[in-house]
Amino acid sequence: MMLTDEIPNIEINKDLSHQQKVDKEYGPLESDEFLYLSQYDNLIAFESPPIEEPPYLTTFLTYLNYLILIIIGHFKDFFGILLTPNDFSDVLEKDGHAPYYSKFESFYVRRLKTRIDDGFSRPTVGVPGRYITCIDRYSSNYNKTFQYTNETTTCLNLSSYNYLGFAQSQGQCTDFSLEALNAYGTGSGGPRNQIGSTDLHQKCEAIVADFVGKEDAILFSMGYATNANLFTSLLNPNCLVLSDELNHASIRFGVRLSGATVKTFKHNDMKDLENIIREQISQGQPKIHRPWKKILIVVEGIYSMEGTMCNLPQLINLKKKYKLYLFVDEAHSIGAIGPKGRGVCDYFNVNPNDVDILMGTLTKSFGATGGYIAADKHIIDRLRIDIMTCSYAESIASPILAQIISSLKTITGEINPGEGEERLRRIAFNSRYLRFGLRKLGFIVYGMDDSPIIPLLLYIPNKMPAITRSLYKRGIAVVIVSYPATPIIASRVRFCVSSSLTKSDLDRILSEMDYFGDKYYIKYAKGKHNDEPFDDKPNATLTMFDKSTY
Amino acid sequence: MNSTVVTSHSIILPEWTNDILFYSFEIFQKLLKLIESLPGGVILIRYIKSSYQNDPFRSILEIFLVLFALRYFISPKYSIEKQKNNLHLSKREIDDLCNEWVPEPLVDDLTPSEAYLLKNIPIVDGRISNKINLLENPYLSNSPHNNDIKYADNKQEFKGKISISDNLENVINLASNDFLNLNNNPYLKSEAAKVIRSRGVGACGPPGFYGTQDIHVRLENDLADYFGAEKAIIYGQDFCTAESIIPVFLKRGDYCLVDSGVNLSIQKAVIISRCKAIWFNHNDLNHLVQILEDLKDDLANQKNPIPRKFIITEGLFANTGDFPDLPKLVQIKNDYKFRLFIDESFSIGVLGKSGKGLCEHFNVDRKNVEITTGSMANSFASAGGFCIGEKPMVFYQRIASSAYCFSAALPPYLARTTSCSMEVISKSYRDQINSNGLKKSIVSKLQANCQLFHNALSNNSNILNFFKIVSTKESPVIHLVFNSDYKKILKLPNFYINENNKYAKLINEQLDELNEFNEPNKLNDKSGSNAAAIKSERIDYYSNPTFKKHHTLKEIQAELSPYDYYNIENFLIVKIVNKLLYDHHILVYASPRILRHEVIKMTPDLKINVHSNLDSTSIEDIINKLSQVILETCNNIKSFQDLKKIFDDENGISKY
Ligand SMILES: Cc1ncc(COP(=O)(O)O)c(C=O)c1O
Repeated sequence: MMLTDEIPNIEINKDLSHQQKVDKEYGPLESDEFLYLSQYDNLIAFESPPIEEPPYLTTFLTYLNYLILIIIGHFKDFFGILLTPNDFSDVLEKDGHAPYYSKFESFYVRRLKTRIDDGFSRPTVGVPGRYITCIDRYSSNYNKTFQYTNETTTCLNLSSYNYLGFAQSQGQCTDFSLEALNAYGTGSGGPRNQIGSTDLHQKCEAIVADFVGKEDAILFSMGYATNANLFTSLLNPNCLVLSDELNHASIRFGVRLSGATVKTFKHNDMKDLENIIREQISQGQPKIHRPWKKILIVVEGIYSMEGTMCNLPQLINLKKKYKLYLFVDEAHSIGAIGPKGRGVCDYFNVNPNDVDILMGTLTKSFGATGGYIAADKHIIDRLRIDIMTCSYAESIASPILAQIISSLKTITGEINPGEGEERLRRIAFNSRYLRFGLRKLGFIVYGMDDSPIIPLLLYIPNKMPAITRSLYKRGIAVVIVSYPATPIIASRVRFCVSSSLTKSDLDRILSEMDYFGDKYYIKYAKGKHNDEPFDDKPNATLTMFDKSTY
Repeated sequence: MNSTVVTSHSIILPEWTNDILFYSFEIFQKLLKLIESLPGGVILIRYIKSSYQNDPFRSILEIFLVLFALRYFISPKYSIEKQKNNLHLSKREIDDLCNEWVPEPLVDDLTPSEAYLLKNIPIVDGRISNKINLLENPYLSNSPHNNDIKYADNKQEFKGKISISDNLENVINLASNDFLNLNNNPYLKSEAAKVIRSRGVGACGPPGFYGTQDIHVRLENDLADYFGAEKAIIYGQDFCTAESIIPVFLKRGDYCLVDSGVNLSIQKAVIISRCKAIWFNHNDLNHLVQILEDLKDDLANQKNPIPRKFIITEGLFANTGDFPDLPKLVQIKNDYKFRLFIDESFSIGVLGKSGKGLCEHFNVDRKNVEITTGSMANSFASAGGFCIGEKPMVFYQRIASSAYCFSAALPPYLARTTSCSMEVISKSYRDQINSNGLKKSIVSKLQANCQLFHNALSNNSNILNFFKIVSTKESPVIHLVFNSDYKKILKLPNFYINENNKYAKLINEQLDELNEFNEPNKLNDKSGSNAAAIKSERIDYYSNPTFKKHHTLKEIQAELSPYDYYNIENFLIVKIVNKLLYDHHILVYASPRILRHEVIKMTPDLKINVHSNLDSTSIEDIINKLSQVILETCNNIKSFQDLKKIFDDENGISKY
């Protein structure tokens, strides 16, 4: 086998016909039965799904596993630095300069994560659609460096954020963005408030605002930066932020930058939140006891590592009762849930006007990139001149805007009527189908039934490389997540469902997972969910898969 | 020598140690008994005994294991400290307090001066190139967004809906950061199109999770090669690049010396990193040395471990268009064992004979700059930011830099575009060499234009009557600020400080140059003539139809804040910009910087972005027109009252 340091230039899908290419990016619908409407039954009070506990033995083994890894790591560090200091030049002082990172700071990365680095950052080629093609690579030094081969592995893609399957290189969205590339150029010319606003920006903002149900919206070239630089324009040190403990890093960065005081509440725990609200309003700011100027609740629509959703109805009650402001980050929920794909408000059937600020990213459901903030016009008008990114950072480039416009129009049915609806119903079906399938097989999965993010709990850290390597070999790409993105004992593998997958694809995943689940002893809830129905509505027509069909 | 060899027999212990040994043995025995009495205790003891006999090393290991278990998993539980001085309240009292509490509105409404800025953001119809068409600005208009605007190919219909003022077509664009005119380069476009055709638009995932395409890996290699660095890493947006990198390497206890002219991204990063930041006067390396000397003793005491130490500056300052003396800076940082961080966002494609930035300009090896960041959205006509430097530095960012880990990768087509831009720039430089300088490279053209423009401006006494050129002759962004004479006439301060920000206050107290503020026309000086003049001016917010919400008496009586002064000065610049635009079809711009966010002192400036496609006659022409417009505008404004009156008239504000 040829191994190179340079990444090879591989052309994929050379011999495929146009239709084959299209199908590889977006699988054809196999039957009208495999559609579902994603909507919350408002008659039932919202309850966050219960967290299933692993067996005690698993918890014990998880700790033991970490313990051994940590001890071996410290031993290696200790003797390594004594015996082969050259290998440790990155953590040692050099000519009077401190190392870029200390031994302690980087311990987790060097000693734990590096061991499973082959499961991260696999370089890919082509569209991250229904299938994703990865370039195979090998490491001869325990993942310190990799060498590439000329071979690729094509995997079913459960790793990319491609909820509605708009990651495509064919079809109306690509045509539109190519047209825009031609008409407008590659980049954007400068910040929004300098020169970077075009008619396309105007148009796209209007469409996004319309889609999420707000008066106005504003677009940014990066989702992370949207959050990171928003809160400084809303809050000051006399303000309070009530933040869910599992909020995304971008939100935490942004809130920290604003200088506002932060109180976190337990994930989705509305009782805890209300207690904090009452305490904070009555006590006021610490020491001086002056009342808070503003209080902002910050939550996410769907939590990207948990698959849970915020309790929007209850949050709105609290917000109204205590005169607070509410910010919802819809990064993973916009497009992905709701009968019309319009995010959590649509899903819970609440009025978007009850949420003060709806933020979202365009990276996940629309095959584009960037972020938006939607709110009342007077808020957006203020933010346009007050948000740092508008005046200092490059604006979003036109081909991306074209992708957003065309995918949103597809969803609303303005382009290709019917296609958008099919996409919405397919993601709803696929999410439920895979989730119920995995539960039936005896895995512990977290999250809401309708959420397209399905974290499957592994707990014991050494199961992570085992699963990701095995599935990769069998042509399934998944993401593994562990500490620090999750609690230390809750390592998991995450399936991101997409409309582009077909039911047979999901069946294939289930059958592979059935096999590996037994092989690696990760069916922690075996037998507990055998009889669960796919659908709690009594006259649902679908019969759930049974093991004999695959 | 022999006497130092001590055998175990020769140790004579004092009496009391025997006692201690005896008692501890006693306690140990009792402990064993206790363990034995517990269920399973006997087995445990037998196990420990036999393991000790067979393999003492194993016992040590096991003890370690237990200790580690205790240390890692039991002790560090988060406990939220209750406020010590909390009042004890009954449920009813809390209810009452909750009912009484009234929050401030989520955002303040725009003041007239801010509204003016918003109304004057240029909106381009179609591509942003050297000649552009402008649309009417829709912000603040009562009609909401026009929803049935059709796509680009239906331009006709589009025009029917929103009227483009006829005189705003074919405007000469001197406002775009695309200095080398690559945004519409056919090669870049065709390569970008290929990528979109084979990979779609978005990357659909963070770099760590299948978001890295071969194109990204290749771009990182290309960047490293191009700049002669070990490794490179790319980010999705330029603004958050430095903002995210600095907190990775500067933590509490670390030191950084920051030029007090750096861009906002670095300012925010330094503040959020919580390191010890000391700001030196802009581009004043003597001041830097002086601070370093003062720090010397402090640093000498910190040995174990030594803190990380950085000097942070820019390649070509985004705020002022000048650059530091790199060779001297390198000398200083080597002398004092600091590392150098340079943001080259504006110097790439601009400085150096082939456009590789500040290092090339001074012929300094890139290895002397430990961290270089830059933007791919300016000269490279793409988007995103990058960072280059040593391997471990880049390696650590991949897991510790939050804008890299927690955000989707740059769209592959933009990554490819950047690679191609570097290719185009290098090729055009090679052509210049091969043709013995006959065929000018795009970078040389740009540099020549910057020089021409700068010289022509410096010779124009009309402009210099009112303005001062801040930028150097190498900068493609020309910064003009009102000169101190004119500012004196208008009774405006030389600089503004974001007074509501505690960092801004702290930083500016540190700095020498603050002296300039203590001149008579300092804003806060209520006894100053200016303050008195302004006190008598009141704004009637009510008479302006755009501002209806949330107005209290206090606001009606509000005096002008420093921010209003800033905006009023900025207004004058925007006025010049607009006049140049409407009368002569030339678009320059007022710097969009936001005083409310900056922590360094600043003043409004008029900016002109030069690009490589200008020629000397058009430069001549532009400058003549600019000077004409400046004369026409500024000659009518001879005092703050004049300025305020024009401002009020234009914004529909009537005076009491
Ligand atoms: C909740 C949330 N907000 C923001 C982001 C950042 O979005 P982007 O990837 O577009 O930068 C993410 C991405 O992972 C996210 O999960």
